[in-house]
Amino acid sequence: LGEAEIADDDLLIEIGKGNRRAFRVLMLRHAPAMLALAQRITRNAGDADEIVQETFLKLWTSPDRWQPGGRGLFSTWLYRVVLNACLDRRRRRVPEPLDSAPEAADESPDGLRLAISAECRRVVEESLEELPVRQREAMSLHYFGEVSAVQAAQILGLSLSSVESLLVRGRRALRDSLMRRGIVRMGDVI
Amino acid sequence: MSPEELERVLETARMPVSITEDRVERVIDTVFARIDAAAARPPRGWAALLAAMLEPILPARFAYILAAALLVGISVGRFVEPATTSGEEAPSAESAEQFLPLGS
Repeated sequence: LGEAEIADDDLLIEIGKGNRRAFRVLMLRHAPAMLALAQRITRNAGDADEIVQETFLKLWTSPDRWQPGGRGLFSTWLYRVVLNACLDRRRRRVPEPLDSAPEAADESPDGLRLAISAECRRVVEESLEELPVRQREAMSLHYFGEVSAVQAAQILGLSLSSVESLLVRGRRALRDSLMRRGIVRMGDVI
Repeated sequence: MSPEELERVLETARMPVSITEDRVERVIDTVFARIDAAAARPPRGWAALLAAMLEPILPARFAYILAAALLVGISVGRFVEPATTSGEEAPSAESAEQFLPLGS
């Protein structure tokens, strides 16, 4: 079998024996998706790198955290671990006041678009923090993790209908929260 | 706010992300470097030292349990009084001697 064809569960058995090559193959396979998820949720490349490193380190020291043969895939379990670490870190982060943020020097249309996007993210994140945990997890995964509702259901260990219901309630709560902040349409963000 | 407007806000808030191979390699190298650094660090404390000594012969999770049990045993053992050997308080030893010739 080529390395690409070895199943995650088999790699994890090898990792349990201290096989660094198997660990490297597993990281190469999953790190890109985990980094993308972590960066979308934390909005910070450094934080994303740290979260993914910590997750893999824990996996190396105790590979039996993941129980093969149960329901679901290793990748969905890994998504859940990284998602929880991201939400935890985002909760602990002290929000930077807008006034203390450096002035945007870029006045090109691209610079303006990025500034609007950043402000939009800040407002949406603050509103997301007000949501109940399960709604926040589902919304973060679906909108910022860019995973489908089906994948989100697997990652959160819920049925598809439960996730869809969480998304419906999450959207409604988010909309209410944004409206309380005076944002009724996109133009109100800046 | 209409559902379409909310989708626009969420779409604008979404961060475009591209993960390069270099970055993945850097993350993997850092993980291995941290594993090596942890392995090179001497174990701290008696329990960790005992666990490190036991680890080659036992899986790590049992080594820690056994090291903890050993430590408890040593600590408690220091307070145990030596058994008395006087004839009055140990009649069973005396009687055992009496039966010795039977087996020979």
